[in-house]
Amino acid sequence: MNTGLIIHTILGLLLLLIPAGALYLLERQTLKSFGLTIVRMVAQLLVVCLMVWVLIRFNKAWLSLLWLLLMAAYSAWIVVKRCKLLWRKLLPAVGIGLFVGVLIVGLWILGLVLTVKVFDARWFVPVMALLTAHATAMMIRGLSTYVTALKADEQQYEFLRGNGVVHFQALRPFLRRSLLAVISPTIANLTVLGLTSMPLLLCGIFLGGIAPINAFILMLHMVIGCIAASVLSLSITLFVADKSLFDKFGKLMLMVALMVTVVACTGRKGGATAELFGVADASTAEASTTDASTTGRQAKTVVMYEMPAKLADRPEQILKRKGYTTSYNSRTKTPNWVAWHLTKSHTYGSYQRDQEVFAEDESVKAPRATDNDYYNSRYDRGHMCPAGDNKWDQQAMTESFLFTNVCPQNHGLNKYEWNDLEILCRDWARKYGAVDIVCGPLYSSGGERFRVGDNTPSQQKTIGRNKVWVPDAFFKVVLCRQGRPKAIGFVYRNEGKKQLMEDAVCSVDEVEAMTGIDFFPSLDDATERRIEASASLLEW
Amino acid sequence: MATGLSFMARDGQLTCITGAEGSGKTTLIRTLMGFLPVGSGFVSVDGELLTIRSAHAFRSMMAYLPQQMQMLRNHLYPDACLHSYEADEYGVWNALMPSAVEEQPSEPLSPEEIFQLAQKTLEAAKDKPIVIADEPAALLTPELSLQMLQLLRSQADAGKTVLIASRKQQLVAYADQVIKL
Repeated sequence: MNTGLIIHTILGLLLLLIPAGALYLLERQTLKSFGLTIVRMVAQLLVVCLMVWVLIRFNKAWLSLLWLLLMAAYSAWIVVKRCKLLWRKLLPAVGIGLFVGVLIVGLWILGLVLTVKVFDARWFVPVMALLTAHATAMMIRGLSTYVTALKADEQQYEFLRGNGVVHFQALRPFLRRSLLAVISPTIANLTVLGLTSMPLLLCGIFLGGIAPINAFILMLHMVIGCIAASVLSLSITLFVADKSLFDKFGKLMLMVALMVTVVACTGRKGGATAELFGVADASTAEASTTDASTTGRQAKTVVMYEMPAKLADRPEQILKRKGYTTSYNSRTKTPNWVAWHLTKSHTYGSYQRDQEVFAEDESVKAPRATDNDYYNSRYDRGHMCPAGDNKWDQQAMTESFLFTNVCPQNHGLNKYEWNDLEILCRDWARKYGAVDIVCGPLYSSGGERFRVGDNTPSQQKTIGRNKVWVPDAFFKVVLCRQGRPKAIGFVYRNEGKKQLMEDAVCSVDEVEAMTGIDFFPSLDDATERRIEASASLLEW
Repeated sequence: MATGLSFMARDGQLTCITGAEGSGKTTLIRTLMGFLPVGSGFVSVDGELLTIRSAHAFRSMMAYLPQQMQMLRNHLYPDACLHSYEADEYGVWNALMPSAVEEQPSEPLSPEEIFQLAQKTLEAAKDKPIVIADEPAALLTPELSLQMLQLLRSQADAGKTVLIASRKQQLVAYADQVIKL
């Protein structure tokens, strides 16, 4: 790099003074994030340039392929995150789809259309990068349409199956919707291409000094290639993902794939960030992990293993009761979680629930849930820490009927699946001497529909005058520390349809991903990592 | 869950499974269709055993009207769920990453539409020897319930095996054979 280049770069950056000056005069708060965005963009560009420089410098086929593989993996991660899918289930399928789809189309273009040396990094890298970027963007549309359409119209799939249509034929309406979600916007956009805007790519080709006619042809090939690569990648992904989406009875296992996200009142703003290859996502994970570990340390002195880590992203008021601890959320008017240590002796007792009535919890601020909110709501007053776990003590029993331990729960779920699980947990407490249990509600993803300070989001289902949120699902995680520690998680949809326990089982990691809660932080890290990674009913 | 149950649905007859809510009518039907595993015992069609693996072959002999017919709007009107897109001048190359699409459940069908869909389904299944209907009249008006009943009866009269699950007295009374859970 010579001094001339440095001076000219600085002169170029001086242009930033215009927007920065305008912001300084009119909107100073945004100035800081604008600056950060620019720094981030410059850093990202430098990294990419360095990467491309290395690729071109060594110019090895295996190195270029490795780079494409990494790009595909990273893009797949973005897709899975954007579509709010459980990454472990679908990441491989998306990665394979992107890698294979882009590679086939890219090699076709390089070898048969442009007739250059296919693994020459100077051609390979830009062509593959463009194809990957486009295929990734389209994958987000296609895959999210497919999965959410299947969830919304599960009945249609089953109807077709019941009428003798084979699996892939029954998926046709959904594949069609997914394909059109990719193709329709492309068609719409292509009609205006070049009229009012000149694509960056075309500018780049012109700047490179290529004659307009050649630039036109190259551009044409790339547009066609991008469309082909996005459709091919999506097809491969949906084919590979099929096994993770359906069980052997052809029953959808979407609960496993679809992540019911946190929303629960996180009101975190997505940061405005510069995009490079369209890639941007501010990672917020670090903040919460540090929180978790510090709380973990505090908890160790008390050794209440059932206690989750402190929540930073939503309202939380910790209430310690005789039989349980609850983290109350003033926005949802339901608990974030309820945790208790269930011992063998606590599963027996003479205190009955007959005399008890559900009661408003005076220790939290109004508006809070009342009996009237549930009256005529068609939802049960669903205990989180069950009355059946509090028979050992009168006070514990009475406190379990406070509304800070209660969520609106579907009657069928409360009576069957959830009750079965509560009974099973008591069996485990008797078998192992004691277990630690945490459970609570899950509120499904609403995308952008929850904003900070928005107390009554219009689309959230609520009951009663106090607007108690109706959960979309419930989670429960159980820890057994007897012998070699183990843990298991469950997620049940808040509906009356039968749900098999086998289908409800999740690893604690999966429940953590859905809830944004860090469970069992008091365990040592290695144990926590091991037992939270997987779960099997058979081991219990 | 149903236990100790044994019955045979015959050609040309209307067989009705009945029982209180939650007694397992739908579960039984779904088991008969191979959507759920048989705990103990067996299901056979024309003397051949129906298993999870062979179920799809048997289902090609069946016409099925599920309980949640009202949820099939997108089947009756395949284009109702498609979105239209405005051209975005920068869309092809210079766009930011799109956000994920979230498809919403469709509007439930009206009773007339449900009946229309049932007719259409049975029409398309002319050559299939078995008709299974889960609560076929649950969401229909009294007049349409009667028409549905006649439709199912005509299927049985055409020599088909018609199996329905229902709590409606009207339907139960009309059946040739009643199985109570």
